[in-house]
Amino acid sequence: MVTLPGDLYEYKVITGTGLLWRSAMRYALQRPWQTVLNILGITVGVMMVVAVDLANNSAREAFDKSLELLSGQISHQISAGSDGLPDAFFTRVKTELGLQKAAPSLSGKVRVNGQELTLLGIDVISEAAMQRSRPGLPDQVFAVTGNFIAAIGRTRSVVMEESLAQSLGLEAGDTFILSTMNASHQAELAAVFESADVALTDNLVLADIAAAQNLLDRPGRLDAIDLTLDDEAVAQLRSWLPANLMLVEVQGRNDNLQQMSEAFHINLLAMSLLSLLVAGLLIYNTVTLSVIQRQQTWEYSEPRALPGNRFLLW
Amino acid sequence: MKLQDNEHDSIHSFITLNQINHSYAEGSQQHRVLEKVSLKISKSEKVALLGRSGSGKSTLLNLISGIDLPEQGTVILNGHNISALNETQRTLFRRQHIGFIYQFFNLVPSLTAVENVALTLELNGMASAAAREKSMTLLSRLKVADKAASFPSRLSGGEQQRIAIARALVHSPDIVLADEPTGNLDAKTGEDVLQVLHDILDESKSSLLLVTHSLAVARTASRVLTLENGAISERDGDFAW
Repeated sequence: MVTLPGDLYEYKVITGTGLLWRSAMRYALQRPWQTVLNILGITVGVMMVVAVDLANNSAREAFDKSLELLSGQISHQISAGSDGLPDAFFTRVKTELGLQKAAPSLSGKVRVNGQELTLLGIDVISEAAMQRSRPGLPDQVFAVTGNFIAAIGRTRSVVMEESLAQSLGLEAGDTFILSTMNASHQAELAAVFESADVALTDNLVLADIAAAQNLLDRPGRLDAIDLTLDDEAVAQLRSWLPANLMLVEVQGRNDNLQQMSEAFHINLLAMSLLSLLVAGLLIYNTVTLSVIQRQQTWEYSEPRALPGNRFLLW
Repeated sequence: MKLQDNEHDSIHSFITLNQINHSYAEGSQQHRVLEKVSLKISKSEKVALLGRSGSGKSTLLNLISGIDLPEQGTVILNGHNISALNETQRTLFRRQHIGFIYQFFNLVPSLTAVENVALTLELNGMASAAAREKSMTLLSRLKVADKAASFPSRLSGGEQQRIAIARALVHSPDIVLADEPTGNLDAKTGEDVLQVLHDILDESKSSLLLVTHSLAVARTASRVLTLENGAISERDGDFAW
């Protein structure tokens, strides 16, 4: 019986030597364009995956922030479907129930200089009582110009973020035509503010709730009443609320909206996976082309002719 | 890996092939190239293997070196049962004990002549400077030291084959497997290359298995075998092909 000498087992597999690296470097330098294209192919492949993934995450984040921008950090909303509810009802909520953390809400799509924007009506006094923050809007947004309340209090006055105003060719004090589906109105840019997140506010026009009702041709109407309620107030409000109005928990509503947008995210995910596949194929083909070329020039056509193994040489 | 008792006498031969069967697939059919092939080669012996194209000569070399494994039978090389080693072990074994010479040289085109030779030693763990020095010594012996810094594309066929011989011998292998080493050279160059190979093998005492279909080349070996119809037979004295 004969056993193998130990050296066969103790021998280390050398996975790279100076000469192999030198050979690889020479090969790369002799074919600079191919090397550049190899690196470019791998870079593009990786970038493609990262870009789609980033786009997916950004879309999710933007969606969440958009929801929060329009409604702010509130717990409930009173709504009445597409027709909305009369603004007198807001007065009743505050006076009859004594709910101080309540604010009217009204928004709609408008066009200014051909650009579609969202007009958001707010009640400055109620907003102060609500103390809610909205992403993109600095806490001092209503005091940016020092005379904001006076400015926005005028009928048909609006404020917007300064880069949006610049893109529309407007400055504070300018008048312009603001169009809805049904009519056009002359509006005045009362003030501009500096946004904390331009991406969220670059299509947002703010106006006093009364001005918004006029500009949106919805006099005396609100979309909803935003509320911040504790459990006791919720119970009280539910028993008081007329049958034609709904008290909606905002988190639940947001969840529903999230579910509605899930198909969009699944599409993005599918696109991300597809781009991963494409990137993988791109990288595979890039590397394969290089290897095949070396095979064709018989550099590695007989990998085992050299005293290395296939793994080592490839 | 331990040898069986009935293989014990095999250790007296440097290479022993026991009842090797091997075939390869050709479409849906299996084509048998080696049928119960047995062979013994002693240490320092030079053996030529004659055979027509497709007779299985190269397959036999691949089996001896452990590049391929036989379907049946055992290959015992210097006491090691090659068939029982895994791929990494076979690679390490080849790296240390076997030298290859091919018809088309197979030099790495992006390495210079001396680097091609030194690569074998570096892969075996020798320091770069020492590997280069030893390679240069062998290149001088083969009379191609002046080509040490040249890339293979700048060398003639004869020069390339001398570099390939240097690469095959630089790590002092126990056996050199040469597959048509003069097949791509003109007659005079082939003769020179063969002479150099034999001279160095005489000094190094390495065994040689020379695969060829040339009678003239085969006659330079001490023993000539033929491979025909999957079987090996020995040719003594004056033979014709």
